[in-house]
Amino acid sequence: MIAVIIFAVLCALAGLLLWASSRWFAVEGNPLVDEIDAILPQTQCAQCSYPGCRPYAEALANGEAEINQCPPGGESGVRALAELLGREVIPLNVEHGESKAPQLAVIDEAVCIGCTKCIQACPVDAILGAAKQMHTVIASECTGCELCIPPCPVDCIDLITTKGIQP
Amino acid sequence: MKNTSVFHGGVKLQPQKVPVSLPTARLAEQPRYDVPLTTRGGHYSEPHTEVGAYVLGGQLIAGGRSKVGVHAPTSGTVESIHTDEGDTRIVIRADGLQQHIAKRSAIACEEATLDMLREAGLTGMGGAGFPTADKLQAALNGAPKLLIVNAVECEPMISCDAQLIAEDAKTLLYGADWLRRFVGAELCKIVVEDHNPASVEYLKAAQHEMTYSGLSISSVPTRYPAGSERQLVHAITGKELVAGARPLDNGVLVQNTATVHALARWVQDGTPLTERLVTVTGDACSQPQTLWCPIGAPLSALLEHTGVSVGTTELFQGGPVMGIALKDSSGAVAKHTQCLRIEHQSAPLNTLACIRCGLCSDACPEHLLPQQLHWQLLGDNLPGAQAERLPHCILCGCCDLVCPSNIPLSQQFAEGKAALRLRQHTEQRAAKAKRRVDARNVRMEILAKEKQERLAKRKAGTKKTDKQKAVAEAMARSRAKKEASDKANKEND
Amino acid sequence: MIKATRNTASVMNTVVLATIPATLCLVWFYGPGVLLNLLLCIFTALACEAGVSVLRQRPFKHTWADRSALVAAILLALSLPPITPLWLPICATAFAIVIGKQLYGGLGQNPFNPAMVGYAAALIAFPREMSLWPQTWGSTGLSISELSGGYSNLAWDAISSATLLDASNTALRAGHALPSIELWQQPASWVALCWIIGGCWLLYRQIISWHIPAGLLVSFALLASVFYLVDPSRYSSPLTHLFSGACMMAAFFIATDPVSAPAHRHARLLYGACIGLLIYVIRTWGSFPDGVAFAVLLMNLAAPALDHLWRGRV
Repeated sequence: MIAVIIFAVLCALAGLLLWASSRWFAVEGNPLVDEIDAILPQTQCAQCSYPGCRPYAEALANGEAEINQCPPGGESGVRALAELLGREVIPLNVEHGESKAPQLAVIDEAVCIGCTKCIQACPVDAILGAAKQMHTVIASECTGCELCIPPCPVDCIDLITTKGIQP
Repeated sequence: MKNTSVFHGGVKLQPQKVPVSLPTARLAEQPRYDVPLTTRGGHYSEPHTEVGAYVLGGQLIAGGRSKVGVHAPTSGTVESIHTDEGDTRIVIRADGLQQHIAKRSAIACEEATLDMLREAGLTGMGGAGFPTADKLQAALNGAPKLLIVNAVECEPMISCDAQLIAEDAKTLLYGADWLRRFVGAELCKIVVEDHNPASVEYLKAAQHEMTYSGLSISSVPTRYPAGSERQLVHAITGKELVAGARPLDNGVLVQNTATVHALARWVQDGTPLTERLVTVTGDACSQPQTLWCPIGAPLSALLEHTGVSVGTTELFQGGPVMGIALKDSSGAVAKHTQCLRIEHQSAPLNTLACIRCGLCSDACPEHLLPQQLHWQLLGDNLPGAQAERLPHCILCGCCDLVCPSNIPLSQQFAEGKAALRLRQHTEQRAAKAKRRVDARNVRMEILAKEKQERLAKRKAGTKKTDKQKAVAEAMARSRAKKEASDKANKEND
Repeated sequence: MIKATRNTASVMNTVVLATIPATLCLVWFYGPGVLLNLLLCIFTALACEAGVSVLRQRPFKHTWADRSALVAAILLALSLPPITPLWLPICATAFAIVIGKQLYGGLGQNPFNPAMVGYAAALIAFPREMSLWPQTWGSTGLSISELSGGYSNLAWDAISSATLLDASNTALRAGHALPSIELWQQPASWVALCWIIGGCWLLYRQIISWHIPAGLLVSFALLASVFYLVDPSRYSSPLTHLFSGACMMAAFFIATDPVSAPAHRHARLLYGACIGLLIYVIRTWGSFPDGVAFAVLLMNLAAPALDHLWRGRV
């Protein structure tokens, strides 16, 4: 009988300790989303069908998305996500796009009409310009996400493959 | 292995030097020269000439001003300017007349500028090929107290420095003294390996004639990699360089012998860097020797000059420890080419697993643990490799030499370093993109909020009466204008 | 391509040669039983390596080429009592090679010393067979079949002999003073001398570095001396300890196995010192007469941590 009481008291103490720890060491937000976001390449291209890398990270953390939806991350990105989330490594889903070499957008200044549509589309504000003024892509900030290409009414933006490490 | 020298680790190797022979051999005049425009570190110089132009020997054909100068090795016509795999070269068809640009008188170190040195085409000739003017710029900012002229050959078998000292120690000393005064150093030491007492004799004889102040000759024990900058500074000053620090941080400037000699020539009469000594050796080489080669001379010409024995051979650029295998002899002599080796085909390496013997960490001159680096890189653990200080590896190959299991460690480390740099670069770009996205999102939120406030104000109705007032005023203005123009018309009639 | 040093296979060859003095000494004292054990262990080791290589779809000649299994087998065979039944060396070696080495990935990957894994497993599984050391061969005149374990028919008292450590252990447990057995009368001391000779040759050939043997012997001797000075009747003298059991064998051949030891020089000193400490502790206060196997295995566990502490300068 005494043993039962002792066990009960020990369990109660353990429970109390756990409760106190959960209050004392509680973490704000979901750190898993930050960890996933740190793995993603931050191209913000929306090829994963989410409007940016952070929404995709949140979807992954909630288990709503698969780990193979990010073409700029490539196979190595899939593997890193698999390791972090404890899921199986699956091949890249080509429906979301192919894994390409790093690229930069370049505006043909002779053709540009200064409509600002590409500036509004760029998720990292890498295009410099204003209405009726020349637009240009700041090469060091461009992530190659291709979101500026569809809005351009005169089709003056080209993608070039970058060789080696860009500054 | 017992370490008797000052720096940590290292391996004692047999020098296997190519004997110094005077007069120095010279490569025969070639019909065409393939001059590279990119240094080994990737510094590119734009061409200044065009196809069909006639150039004199020593004429500037690329670079100059802020980029390293590249000069024609001899007189001839520019045949083509072509790019192969990102490597641009100017091909010159020699006319055989060997006409050079006019010489000028000596320049004092007060008159010389870094731009002039850059235009002279000087780069580090000890293997790294770093633009000398850039290094001296850092030196002028750093105020070094000691200038070390590195006559310790970087690897066994190479004898470029020994040959140069035997042939022309006087010009070398002239250059060393000039450079010492140019950077404002108090002392200059010319350092030789101790298995080479002949070099010391030549240098002492030359110094006896010239009596420069602040110039001394010293020797270090022969131990690979004593020719490496960091290890040499430790051996000479007794102070070890902290990981990541450069010699200039400790007040020391190190320059290769051939670089100083080329600098001396330019100072004396304006001759730019258009030729260098190259050691051709190897067990399949008929006549190992060190000879003067113009920059851009085809490697096949060197092989022809020295002779190659029959049988399957492999070609290497560089010494026996750090040399890289070449696919064929289609390349050309560059400013950083020190050695060409032709070897009989060797048996493939019988690589076993690592037995954790620890000989590699005993041999590492940079206090690294190559064993740990090996295991981390085998497991593709780049952060782990970085924690083991992979970026500090100087790829000297000492660990390769002592490994009883024949593991190609430095090759693995070179690949790992490249992967690490790429990964760091990708992470930096991703972090930058993330910051910009977050900033943009904040901006968009502010804009949306402002828009909402505007809409709210409009809905509240204050704008309506203002608008009506504005309309009424506009109508009044137009009526007034009409009346005024009617009046004017009536008067004109 | 120039190489400055020897390769793994020739290192292992030199180690094998260094065990010859001790082998000859053991045969002199205990007869051909030792050679029988050697044969069985070597054969089993090579067979196991070949078997595992085939399962791993690798050429087994390549696995044999590094000779590491040979060395493990020899060391294990020389630690076993000479009159073990035939199946015992086979089981111990199979366990050592398959579980102690190959299961972790083969050469270079095993965290524990394979010979000691085999020895410890056999000791725990078959304690009686592993602690029966006979009298010297000359005095018993056993035949080969009896040497290979056919001793169940014999009166055990007639042939068994307590080793010095055994006797000390039993005496202390019973509360008696230490037995007064002359150090140089027991075979183990002469064998230890042969291990020292082999070990010194390995040092001379620069196969092993001095750090582990020095650490082990110095710490062991120091600890033994301290306790001996406190109470000579209950604690054996340092000399007795050093020359009994497998202490010298451990110092030069077992603890110096590079795969399971730390890589850094200073870490190795501490590793050797801790093994020495543990051997003394187990011998004096543990229930086993000789603590070498367990001491080595325990420190194998700690080896990565010791390496981590000595990462080199940052």
